[in-house]
Amino acid sequence: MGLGSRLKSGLLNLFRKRQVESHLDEEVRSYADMLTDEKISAGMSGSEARRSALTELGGIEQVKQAVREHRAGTWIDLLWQDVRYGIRQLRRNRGFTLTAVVTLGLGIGATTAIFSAVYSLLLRPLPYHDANRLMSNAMMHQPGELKLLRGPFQPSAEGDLTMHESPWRMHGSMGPQ
Amino acid sequence: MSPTQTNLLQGTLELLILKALVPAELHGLGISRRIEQITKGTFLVKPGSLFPALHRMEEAGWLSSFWGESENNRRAKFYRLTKAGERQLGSETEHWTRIALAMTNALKST
Repeated sequence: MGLGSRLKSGLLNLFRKRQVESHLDEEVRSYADMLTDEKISAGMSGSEARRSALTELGGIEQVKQAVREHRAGTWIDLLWQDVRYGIRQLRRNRGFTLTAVVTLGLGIGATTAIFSAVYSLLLRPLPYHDANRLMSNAMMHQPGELKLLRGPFQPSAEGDLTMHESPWRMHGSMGPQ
Repeated sequence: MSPTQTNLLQGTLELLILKALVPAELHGLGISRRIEQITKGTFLVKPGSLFPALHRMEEAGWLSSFWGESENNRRAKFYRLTKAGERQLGSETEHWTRIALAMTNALKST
């Protein structure tokens, strides 16, 4: 119930703003009038009573503003005001707007490009079945021994094969010479 | 003013408004005067806090409002308690009584 009625008055505040405003104005003014009446019947002169009533009220506009700040949906109103203010400012400072747009554009563009490259080169799994079991084989010739290097393209989860050196190490010569 | 103080006062004001509206529907000034009367002049509610509270409470569904004529023929907005408002008054009264009792006991202890 609380949420429903808050939602309803929030929508009312947004879409029938003029009516809500004029009711608020009338309400606060009638309060001031009645306070004035009260002071007149307590023996004050008309103008004195009016002045004293307005002082006690603390200003009609201030009271209305205090109510507005507590309304449901105020934040949408404020957000909209800020957006319009922002657009006006951007329109006024063309140079600043251009600089900001170019900076943002370059920044976002560069970041995206670098990430796409890094992603496809380093992060994305290879497009094969069981990609973590892929091996690369290479022969390396060192004086006196021949090393067979092999290792998965990507670090394997099992940890039994490390990247750099195989458990097989062959001595002597191998292959056609 | 610290936030806790404000919260306490806000809760108190809402409770007093609910209580003030039990016997009859009243307009803003009427509510002020009624609160002054039932608290024997301890609380003077300024319109700057009364109206925001009334509108907030109406939005919460505790009060409903309508336009009517005041005792000296001025058009005024009157407020009355809704069913939800009566329930709220019940639960807040209970809450307040518990706090008041606890505070009194705490301050009496040595």
